[in-house]
Amino acid sequence: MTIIQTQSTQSLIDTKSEEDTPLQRWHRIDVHKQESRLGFTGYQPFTPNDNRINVYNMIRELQALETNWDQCGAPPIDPKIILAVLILVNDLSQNQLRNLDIVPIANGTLQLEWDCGPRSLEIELESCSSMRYLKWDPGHDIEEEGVLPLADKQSIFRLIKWVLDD
Amino acid sequence: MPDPLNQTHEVENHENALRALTHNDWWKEKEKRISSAAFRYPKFSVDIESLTTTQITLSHFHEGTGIAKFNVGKARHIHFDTIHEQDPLSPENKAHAHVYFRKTNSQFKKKYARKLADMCSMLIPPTLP
Repeated sequence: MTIIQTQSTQSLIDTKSEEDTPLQRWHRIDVHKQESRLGFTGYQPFTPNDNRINVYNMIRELQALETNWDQCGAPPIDPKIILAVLILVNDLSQNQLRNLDIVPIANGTLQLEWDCGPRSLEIELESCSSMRYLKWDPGHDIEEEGVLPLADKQSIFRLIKWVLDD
Repeated sequence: MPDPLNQTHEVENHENALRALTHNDWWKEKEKRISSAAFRYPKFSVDIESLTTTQITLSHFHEGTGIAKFNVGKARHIHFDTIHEQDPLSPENKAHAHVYFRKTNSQFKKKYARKLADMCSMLIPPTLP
């Protein structure tokens, strides 16, 4: 597995600079293709057990999906969705990143999935500003689905807290 | 009995459908389950098990594609309707059917995809390069 070494995600997606768009900054995470061109140095390694390493590697692989990745004509994952996931992940703690999987959906979006025993949580980014979630624990009659603004971090944190049973 | 060669008709409830899993992440090895993302389509292709074999179905896809199976009647009960109809891109595949999600205006899009994923049996997990 390729391990990404980078600055904090916040610095990658910081929107303060007027020169770089958030998307351009996102590309800096792709060290193999972008590092030389951007002349970006100063990477700092994550700690060996940093949960972000696996998450960022998942995102990198999903970013690389090409048209027809599902053999049925699916488009590549929308770069704006990738950026939205990156921003969301950046706001999550190490604990909240436990058991997280990110999977592609054929319409060019992404779904975040947490599994913890009989419980699971799915968060599907429907756009850069909204998400559809599914709380799933059929053994306890929990099959709750809803839509939330992506900016509603507190609600997202509550969902993750539920699935991780913290 | 419907003519399987060129008729479009509902697949009977006792039949099973074979669904190709075309991305490794759609199979969650640790949890031994299929991700609902594999069914987040308004319409997707399957093969009717009684008219093919897993080997023939897999031959239509890249090496390493996985395959799962679900019962057509149980899927229909949760609004996934299997219709035996030709794939314009592979007209020679007489086992081909489309599955239509008939509740597209529902606010519960994910719930049904998850139910369908959970009712699947995994036959061959995906191991795509």
